Amino acid sequence: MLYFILKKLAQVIPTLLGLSVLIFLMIHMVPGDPAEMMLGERANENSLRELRHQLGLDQPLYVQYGKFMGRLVQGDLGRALRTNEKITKEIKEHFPATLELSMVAIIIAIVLGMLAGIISATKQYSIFDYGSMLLSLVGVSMPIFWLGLVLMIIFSIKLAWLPLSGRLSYDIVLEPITNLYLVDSLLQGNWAAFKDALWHIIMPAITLSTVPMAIIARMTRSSMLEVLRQDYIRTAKAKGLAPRIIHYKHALRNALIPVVTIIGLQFSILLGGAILTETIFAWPGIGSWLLNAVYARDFNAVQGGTMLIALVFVLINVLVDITYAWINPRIKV
Amino acid sequence: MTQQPLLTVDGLSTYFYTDRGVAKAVCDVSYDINPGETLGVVGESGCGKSVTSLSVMRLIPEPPGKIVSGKITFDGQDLLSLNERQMRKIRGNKISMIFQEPMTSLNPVFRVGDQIAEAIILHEGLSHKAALERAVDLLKQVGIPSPESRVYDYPHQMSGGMRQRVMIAMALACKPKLIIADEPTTALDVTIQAQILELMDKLREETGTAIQLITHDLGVIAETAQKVLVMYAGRVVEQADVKDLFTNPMHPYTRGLMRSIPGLGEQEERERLETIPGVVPSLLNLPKGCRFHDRCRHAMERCALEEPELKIADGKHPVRCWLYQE
Amino acid sequence: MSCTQTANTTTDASCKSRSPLAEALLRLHKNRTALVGLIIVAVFAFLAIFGHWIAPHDPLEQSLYTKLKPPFWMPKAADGFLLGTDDFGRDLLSRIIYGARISMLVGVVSVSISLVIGTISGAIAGFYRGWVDILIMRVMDILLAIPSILLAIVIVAFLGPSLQNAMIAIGVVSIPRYARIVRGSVLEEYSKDYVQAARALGASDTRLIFLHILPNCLAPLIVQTTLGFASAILEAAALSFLGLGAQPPTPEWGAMLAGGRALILRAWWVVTFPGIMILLAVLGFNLLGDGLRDALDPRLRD
Repeated sequence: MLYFILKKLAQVIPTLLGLSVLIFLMIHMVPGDPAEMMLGERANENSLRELRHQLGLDQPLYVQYGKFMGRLVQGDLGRALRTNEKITKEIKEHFPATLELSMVAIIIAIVLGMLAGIISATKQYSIFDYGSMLLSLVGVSMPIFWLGLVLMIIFSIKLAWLPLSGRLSYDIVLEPITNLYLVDSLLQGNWAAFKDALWHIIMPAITLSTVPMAIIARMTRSSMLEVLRQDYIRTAKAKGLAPRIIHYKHALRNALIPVVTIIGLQFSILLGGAILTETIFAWPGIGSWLLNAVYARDFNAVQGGTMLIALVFVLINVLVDITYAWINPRIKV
Repeated sequence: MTQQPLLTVDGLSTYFYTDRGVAKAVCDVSYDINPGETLGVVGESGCGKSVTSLSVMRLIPEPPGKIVSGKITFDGQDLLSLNERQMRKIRGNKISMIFQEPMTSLNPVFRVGDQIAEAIILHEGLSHKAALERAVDLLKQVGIPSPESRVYDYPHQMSGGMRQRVMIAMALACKPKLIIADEPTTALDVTIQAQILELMDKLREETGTAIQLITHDLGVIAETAQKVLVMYAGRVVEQADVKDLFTNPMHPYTRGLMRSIPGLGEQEERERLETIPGVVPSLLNLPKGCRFHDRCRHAMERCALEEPELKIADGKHPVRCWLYQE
Repeated sequence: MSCTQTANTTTDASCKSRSPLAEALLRLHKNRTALVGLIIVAVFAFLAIFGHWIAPHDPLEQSLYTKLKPPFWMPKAADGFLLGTDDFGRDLLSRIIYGARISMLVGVVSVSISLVIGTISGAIAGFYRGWVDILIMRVMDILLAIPSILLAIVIVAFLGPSLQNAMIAIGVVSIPRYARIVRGSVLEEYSKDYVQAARALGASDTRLIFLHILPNCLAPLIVQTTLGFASAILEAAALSFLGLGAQPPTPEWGAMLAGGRALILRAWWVVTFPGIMILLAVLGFNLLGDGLRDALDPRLRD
């Protein structure tokens, strides 16, 4: 198993390396001079030269890349141009918010999506089947940045049930431990903070979970239907097993195999969707941080943030491969 | 011979209601099986053998399938009147099944031992540990070497013949009174086929269970069965004791089947192997008259018009053919 | 088992008498959701082409007197503005109708970019194999290693925010999907006898690829193109919403949502209608794509 994990990790190194080259080149070869873009067109030649030197832009590309990679392997992503803070520090501050949001969203998506898919498959052509499949068709096509706004209008403005944006109300005090507010408040037994954090996360998490939920529901349904046609299901019936055991033990375990792959792919949608969701709900995560870096033309931060998200994404895929091997005994580990 | 039959199927008809019409998969089929006896059901694929056995198990997918009429009595119980829960207590317990495809009939994600133990735990309430011990015994009984370790194998770690042995062990798990074996050897190599048939026959003698053996291969029937049912396009066309059938096959279809196996044909025809021309008719669009007439070398004018009854001819055994009826 | 099998084989046999095209059309017709998709797509195509005749107002025409008027069924609605107006007094209905043209344009341009580059690079990779294949597919892996919307944002960030650059970014982001399909079919077809026969007759490489091999992966390409329209429209709207695509006052649906965000407390209709248009357009192409997949390539069915 350890060998398998190491092999999988080794396989992603070239991809990450290529990605670093790609992002690096994009920043340095695209028309326009970053120094000029940052200082504006009316900047004088001296300050431009100084900034170029400071950024190392006056050196050959391969030297610049070498330095960039040298720092990268030491875990140093450089400084954000707009705040002059270390990028790693800024990421550390913003990452827990994104992690918390994504985790809640993917849990909602997996639980509700798989449940809908399983019930639809076992009750094929029922009202529930038609209803949930229609909903998931709409869900797959949903512009989530619009859905977020609509939820805000309904639940915050018209009904005033849920807070409009942010992670926590101003009057709530919470000691940071992990910076995952739901976890921190539970650890401290701070129920007021937990409830407040929960109320704040509901709308963004539902918004973010919509597309993955719909895709997981559709995939689970078709995978279950495929499995229910298999000979071994007939064997299970001939054994006298009850439908519940046949569906949830014999069928689901097999149907999960393709679903796990699909769930892995959802993280791409989730991390991309986090940028939109965080922007709408003023969620102080890595997505809105990255977008602000884009607006401010802070290329160091964009470079660092993108590399980090790519790294997370690639590692999640390794994790999915491991899960896949674990639930499918036919894969040699 | 006053013994009460274990299974009596009387006038069973099972239809499938599809987009393109009603497929009459099984029409008015009757037979019975005595305890400890092997009944062979023979015919080409698509003639209703498997649907008959799935009807007995009440495993016809419904819809589109439906048992339209008939009566199935097993061990004094009317199976068609049982509800689903009562029926589940019979499946895998008193009647069990062995399927054609050992490669796909075992669940790939569970260990074979657990799959055998599952039915034992369900029907006999044994603990997981005790059930697994029984599974080891069963694997030994069906001739799997080093069963103590094999019990932890996944299906993909076994060969086709081994998996079929596992299927047989699974079928034997709760000491059933009847095993329905649906083409148990078709997917296997010839040498393995003989071993599996021998094993089934041995186990039948040891345990006294009855077997309904479904096959398209008369050679298999000759080796293992006591009674034979020949089916064609959903109908029983001939019914006889195995000796009777092989010494005196009457229906042209039965004879055709025999001529198509090496070394089993009638004396003068033994030299050349033959095939029956044509294919089994579509169950959605059955020919008028005798269902076999357009493939029959003895077909008469009458055969295309009226369907013959299943009648005892020449004082021997029942056959559905105008050649033997007035 | 045996009986149902017979029933199935006869079904298949009777199907074979029809031509493949008729068979595909029949299956498309049977699939009602696909038909709905086709109708939605047709309506949007119609709006895109004839929008300037249908729209009651100029989408850019501003008026202080008709600011933030609600839709017609609400009190204080203004005559002639069916779906109300935005904060510049522009007619919402006209703006979302013109938005169809922009979204369709985005679809056509960015799908063309990814289709052409993806097909050519996939064909080259599959045909020449060796290091060319490794190099091309490695680049595709790299493109796939970042969430597509993030990659599009990064590309637009460096090219500068505009609708044109958004279309380029979205086009680049989906190149791998096409390249993978084409490479797969080329690898599969290449070894077949008819390709080797054509090669023996002296057909050139280009001729082999375009005349003999590519027609074989047409079905999955058509499906992917249709689904590609859906994701292109969605991603373009997202980029415009973030201010990285179409710029105001362009009547682009995503940009309209961004403009209406500040108004959600006062005028819900300004954000509601453009979003419904995005949803419907994306849904239409997704439904059609799913239906085409069932109709053109039964093997791909789920």
